[in-house]
This record gives sequence, C-alpha cells and structure tokens, in this order.
Amino acid sequence: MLILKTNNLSKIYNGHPAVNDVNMNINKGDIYGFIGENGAGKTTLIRLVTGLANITSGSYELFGVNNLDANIYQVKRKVSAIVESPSLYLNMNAYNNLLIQAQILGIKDMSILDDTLKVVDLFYLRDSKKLVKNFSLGMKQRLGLAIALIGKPEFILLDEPMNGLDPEGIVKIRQLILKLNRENNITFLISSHNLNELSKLVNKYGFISHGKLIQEITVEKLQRQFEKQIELEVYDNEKTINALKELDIDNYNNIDINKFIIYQDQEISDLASSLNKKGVKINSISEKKANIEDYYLHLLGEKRND
Amino acid sequence: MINLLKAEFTKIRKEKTFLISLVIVIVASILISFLYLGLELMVNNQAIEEIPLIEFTGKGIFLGSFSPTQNVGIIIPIVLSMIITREFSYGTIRNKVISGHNKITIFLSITIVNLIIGLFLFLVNILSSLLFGSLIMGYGTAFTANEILFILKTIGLGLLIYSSIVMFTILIAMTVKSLGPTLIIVILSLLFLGLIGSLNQIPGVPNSIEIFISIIPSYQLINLANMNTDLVLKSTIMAIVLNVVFVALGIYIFNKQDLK
Repeated sequence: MLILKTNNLSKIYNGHPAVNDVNMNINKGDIYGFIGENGAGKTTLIRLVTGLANITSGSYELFGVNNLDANIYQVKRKVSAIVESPSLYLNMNAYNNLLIQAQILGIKDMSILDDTLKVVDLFYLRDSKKLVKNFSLGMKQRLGLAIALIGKPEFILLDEPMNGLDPEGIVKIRQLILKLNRENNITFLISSHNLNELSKLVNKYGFISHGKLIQEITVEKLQRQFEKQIELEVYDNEKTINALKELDIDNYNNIDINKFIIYQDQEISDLASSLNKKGVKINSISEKKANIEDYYLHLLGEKRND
Repeated sequence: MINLLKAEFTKIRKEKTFLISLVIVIVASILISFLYLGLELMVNNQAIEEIPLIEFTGKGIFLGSFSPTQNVGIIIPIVLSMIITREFSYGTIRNKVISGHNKITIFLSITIVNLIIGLFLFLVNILSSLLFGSLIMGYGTAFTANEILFILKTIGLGLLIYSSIVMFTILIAMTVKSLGPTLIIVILSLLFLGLIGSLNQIPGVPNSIEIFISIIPSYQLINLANMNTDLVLKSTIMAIVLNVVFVALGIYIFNKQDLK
C-alpha cells in the first residue's frame, strides 16, 4: 500500500524551484531515507506534504487521498512530523506539552501521555516541573518524538532527527525508530545528511539534488548493484578515461586526478589486465565494499556530468 | 475547532503570561487611582495648575480606563502579541497544521481565544479602575439606577469598540509572526490613532475631518462619556465592520503564507 505518492510536486520560491517535479513513492512499513545536500529540497518537500507550505504545482496523495480532496484533513490525523526542530512550548514542562498536543488531536484518554513518555524514555519527567527550555537537545528530540507519537500515527516524517545529538542520543533515537517500525508498523520518512547513520535504518533511499529527485532505490537493489567497488590509482588520467571507455566501463567516478572508483561487478585481476593491455600504467588497484556515501557522491557526480 | 480552543485555553492556563498580566492590570488600576489622588492634592494645594479634561473622581478614573493609548489599553496588545507570536517562535503552530487542522480553523481558534483574553483583561481593568477609583476618590456623583445603567452601557460599548483594537493586534501578530515588528506596528498604530483621535479637541477642526475622526475607535473610546445616539450607532457599526475586515484579511493572509 502506498502511504505517500507525490505527482510532479513543485515549490517555487522567488522564481527558484526548491522542489522540482518530484515523484516520490513510499510504501507502508518503509523507512525511507531522504538524502540530499543542504538546500536540496528535503525540508521543503516535507513542509509541502505536511501542509506547512503551499504547493506551487503538482499534487500528493497520502494513504491514497489526494491533497485537494476534502478528506485530506482526516487522513492527516494518521501523519505526524518533526520539521527542522521539535515544536515545543519551551516555557512549559514535558507533560503539559503532551497534554496540549493530546487536546489538539482530541484525545480523551490521557493515560496515553504516560505510555508515550515511557516509549521515549522520558517517564521520569512525568511530574517534573523542569521547563523544556532547560532540556538537553536529546531530551527535546525525544519529547518531540513523543508529541509526534501521541496520536498513534501510521506515518512519521522526521527532518534531520539526528542533528546535534551526541552518539548516545543518536543510538537511542535510532533504536526507537527501528522499534516503532517493527512493532507498530509505522512508516518513516527520514531526511538526513548523516548517510552512514541512515544506512543503519532505512530500507529505501530517495536522493534529491537541486530540487530534483535523482533516484529512488531500495537498499536491496542498491546492494545488488553496488556491492563492491574498485579503487584505481594510475599515472595518466586521460589515458585511463579513454581505456575505460574502450572497455565499455562507464559506471565510474574520477574522484581526483589519477584516482578512480569503478562501480562494476568485475574481477579485479581481469580489469587490471584489460587496462594494462590498453597501455594504462596502474599505481594501485584494490577492491572494497561500497557504502552509501560513495554511491551518493557517484550519483551527484553523474548528475553534474548531465 | 473545539479541540483547538481547548488546547489554546490550556496553553493560556499553563503559561504564566496571562496570570502576570492580570496582576499588572489590577495593580496598574490601583496605582492610577493613587496617582489621581496625588494630582488632586497637588491641584488643591496649588502646587500645580488645574489640569483640563481630568475629573478627579472614581467616575473620571473609570472613564479614563477606556483609553487605548494609556496604561492598560496599551499593555493588552503587548500581552496578546507575546502570546500569539510565541506560537511562531516556538514553532508550535506547526503541530496544529501537521495534526490535520486547516489553517482557517487554526486562525479562528487563536483569534477567539485571544479576543476573549484581551476583552477579559480590558474588563478587569475597567472594573478595578471603577472599584479602586471609587474607593479612593469617591465615585463623584450619586450612585443611582441611572448611573448603573450608564456604567453598564459604557462598558458594553467600550468592550465592543476595544474589540477592534484587539482584532487588529491579532491580525498583525498572526501575519507578521515576530514579536518585535508586531509590537512596533501595533504600538505606533495605536499612538498614531490616539493622536488623530485627540485632534477633535482642537478648536476649528473642519467638519469633514471631524466626521472622519469620529469613526476612529481611539476617539470613540476616549469620548464614551459624551456619546449621543449618532455616535453610539457609528461606533457599533464601525466596530463590527472593522472586526469582519480584520478577520477576513487575517484568514486570507494566513492561508496564503507558508509556515516556517
């Protein structure tokens, strides 16, 4: 079942497209990693889907309901989000923040407040008078998650949830997301710069750059395609480019002068001998497992070449 | 809508801003009564010259409490601006949008709650000015049934006229979203309107300008004691028209704007 589908969704600010014809698909149960450089359009897309920003053109569907449909407000009750930073009343304590959110959602049974505080490991603050403004960033982030969870959402959008957290905080948030996904079948869209951290969570990636969604790919497919990569160091950059072309190898990144990363499932000895035959002198050649960062840089490189 | 109203009232109850404002309003009305007493003593002792247009009685203090540019009249827009813009600076307005409430409902719920708060504080200011003014200075005239009716009518009309000042504050705070600029716009507007409103006291003001001035809420509020039927009608119509315009404009702008 599709939880979120965007159809050529666009947002233009002062003539500049912040989100440009994006077609995104998130299925139930996904943890969707939304990756892009600063200003790529990650937050803008989240703001469009949550209703914080008005759409310039295109549309989106949440749980199969179009954003122009009168029922969209009903459907949005199943969605929650933390955009940029948790939205909290800094001059109140944790419990009152949850109480107000529960009232906004029309929740009658207030025992859910205690349950939610337990889920995010903040129950010790149940009767505390400590104001949110005195909380650590990690505590604020977890309280923000509690607020997002209180309406028992089926889909949560998190914008840079690991930003500014210490390693322990990152682990706690990651474990919480995984737990909620596995036990409650909550679908997540998580935007982040921290690619390695995301790779520990997600089952699907969406890569966005300059407002354009470059690629959507499942982790499974990504691993199949880019299970390994070959690092190559040579003495002649141009000669190597020509040789690779002649060998029909186009899936590579010229990361520096005389340095290449080749994303192709090929025996390292075969490649070395083929290059040698083409007159390429190899300084070093080695094989290593590809990670998401390498893939992202490869994608960005491809886009720039386009 | 009911859920949002409930949440807004809970927020007001849990925040200290409203409670502190309530205390300030009552303390200010007591201090003003004592200020009047001190001024009266100084005038009587010929330490200062007689001050025109000031009546040193509880009734004078009561009528003076309606002024939108003095004391509490200007404190209330500041309090409302603080309460409303905090929603934007904390980002908590986003929780309401994300939770599936449409922007019109959100705007209306904030407007209703802040209108009630603004008018409640204004009413407390008026009543405590009447109470403490009369206790300290004496009411000034016989407290007859007619006088009670006059007080009730004045309060009713005063609240209606002041509602447009509250609505203006809400409009600016909801669309500007930031405390500093909101305060600058609201306070300067109030002072400017207060200045225009007092132009009528200058002799020889042309009739056309006089008519224009008479529809300004600040003028109407400082002339509540001298209201004739014509001015009461003008004030009522003007307050209703202004309130409708402010709400419609607020909804339109708020709906168009993106939320950060």
